[in-house]
Amino acid sequence: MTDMKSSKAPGEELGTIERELHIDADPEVVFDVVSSPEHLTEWWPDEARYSSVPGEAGRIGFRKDDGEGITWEQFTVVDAAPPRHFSFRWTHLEGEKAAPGNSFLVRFDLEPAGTGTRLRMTESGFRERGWDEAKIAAEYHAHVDGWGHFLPRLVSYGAKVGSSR
Amino acid sequence: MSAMVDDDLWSAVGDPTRRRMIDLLLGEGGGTATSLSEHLPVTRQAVAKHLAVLDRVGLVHASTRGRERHYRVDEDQLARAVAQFTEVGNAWDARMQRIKRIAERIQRGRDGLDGKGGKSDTDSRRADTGGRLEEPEQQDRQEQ
Repeated sequence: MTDMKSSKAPGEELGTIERELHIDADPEVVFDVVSSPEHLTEWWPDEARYSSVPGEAGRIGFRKDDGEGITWEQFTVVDAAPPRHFSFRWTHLEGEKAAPGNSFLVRFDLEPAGTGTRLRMTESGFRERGWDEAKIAAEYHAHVDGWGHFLPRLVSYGAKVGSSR
Repeated sequence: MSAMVDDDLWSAVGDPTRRRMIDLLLGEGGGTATSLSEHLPVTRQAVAKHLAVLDRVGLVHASTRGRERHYRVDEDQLARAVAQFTEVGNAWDARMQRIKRIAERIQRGRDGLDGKGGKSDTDSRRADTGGRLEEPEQQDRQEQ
């Protein structure tokens, strides 16, 4: 299957974004939302063409700002273990096999919590890849909200990164 | 600036000791390898190496005062580094909120179909603002 999952403990790589959230829905429902191409396009890219078979080449597309055409990014499922874990790599070059160093790794871990699900997301690979891609990726769906208030953020961000190790 | 610089910037701030050093430098308005090492569980030599890393990416600037180099944080460069963290973080905050809304909508639909008394979701089908961070702590959780 895959060894990528165990190659690095989550948070071990310092260039990791980590988010956690409670969702009032069953893990099966949440798993479907985070993993299926149909749902992916509801919360992230405009197009999603990939199979859930680990290692198979796929791609996701983002409509360009000027409305003309789609920017495609490579997308490969790393591991799919419903309803507990889903991970994928993206932004590797077309024709390359997704691997550490050429792509970002996104992991979703789901755990039943009360009547719902605790969803934990980590995205890693920034340190290996540099930030330009990350910034481009971020700009698809988020606007930068200015440079103010940066000191408290650094502190809280640092605490998060530090504690995740 | 190039991806290289950005990557170095990330690595520079990604290290917990260096983040602590930045905090100390900000708090004290500057410092030297010696003064920093008094607050840190590492040697003065290690601190000096960390300072060199921070200096190389422009997060601190050195001036020579007396016998030792005195370092100050470059707040513009720090703001730039933090903005980069924040951008990716914001993007994921927005995506996570969308995931939550979609999953909860589906769940409510299922509960309704199963006759478990799911409530109508007309009011909770909030417009997707595309990334506001606030999610009111679930006024719509009366179904359990």
